[in-house]
Amino acid sequence: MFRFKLPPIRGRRCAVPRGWLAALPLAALSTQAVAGFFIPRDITMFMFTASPDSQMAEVAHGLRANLSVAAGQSRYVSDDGLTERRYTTLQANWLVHRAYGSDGITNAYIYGGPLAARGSEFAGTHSGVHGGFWADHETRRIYARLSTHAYHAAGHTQVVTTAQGLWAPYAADYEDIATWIGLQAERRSGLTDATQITPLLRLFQRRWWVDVGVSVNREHRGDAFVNLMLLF
Amino acid sequence: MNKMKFYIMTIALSLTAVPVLAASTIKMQVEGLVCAFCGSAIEKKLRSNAATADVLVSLEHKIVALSLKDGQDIADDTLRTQITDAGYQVKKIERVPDTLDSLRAALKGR
Repeated sequence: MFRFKLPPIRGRRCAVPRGWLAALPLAALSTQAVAGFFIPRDITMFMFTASPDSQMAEVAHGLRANLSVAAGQSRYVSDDGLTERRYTTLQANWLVHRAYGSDGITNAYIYGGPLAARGSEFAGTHSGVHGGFWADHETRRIYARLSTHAYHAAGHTQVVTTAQGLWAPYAADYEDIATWIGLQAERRSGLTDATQITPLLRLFQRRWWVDVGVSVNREHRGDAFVNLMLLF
Repeated sequence: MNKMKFYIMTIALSLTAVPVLAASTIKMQVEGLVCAFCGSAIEKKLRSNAATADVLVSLEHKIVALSLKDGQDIADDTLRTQITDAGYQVKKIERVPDTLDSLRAALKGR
């Protein structure tokens, strides 16, 4: 449903992965895209992210001003389509530091917890751990983020590192739809040697958030990316 | 003469009390307000108070305001806790005589 990939350039898989559909009902997981995202106390957030190489869904709930818990599922596929890894995760997200500036805020999070892994490289389900770090800075016109998320199970370690830089053409106020444009660079060690470069369009307003983009680097050219978040 | 003084004092006190009693709007200066998605938690928290009639958030002016239902109030400490739980810091809380609509209009007109 979210996949509007352009024609494959070099015979990469083009069908809608069945794993996406399997991931949806679970609706709980750790997502690289939002694992460290601040969830205020008593607020629940649902997030879903999809691209041809990775799909994730997560439900997170704020327990305290600086602590939230999340459950989710993620699926990663190698560039050649031969290796698949699925992680079911539980995690705690801790807002380690928030600095309030005159024009913006800077956040630092750590997160981690247990996981259950399945994949094409090993039989059955294996337990493991995952965790990472997230730092971002945001004003009403500029957003920058660097995050990393490592998964370890069954002797395999995968590290997903993401950098984002976005700019808002106007400073949206509370009632407005905010518009941001920018670039995401992501590297999934162990699954791809390429850095995936994706121009992004970000739109959000109060309780909903949408990121869309299409990757431009040679290895992932034409791969669509969608990220949805809802607050309850 | 004493009776006259008493009446004058009573009237004077009544007049000064009117603006306070009529202050059904609470205006807060909040640090860290840059994003409506994140800031929506503030609105949800404040609306959970039984005394809240309506809420106004201005990212431009870093102001959160709420109007109170008739005859009701919310303690400053409660407001401060709710804003903190939402991830922000309150710099100032004041009771103002403006209605929320007039405050909204004033902020847009700035």
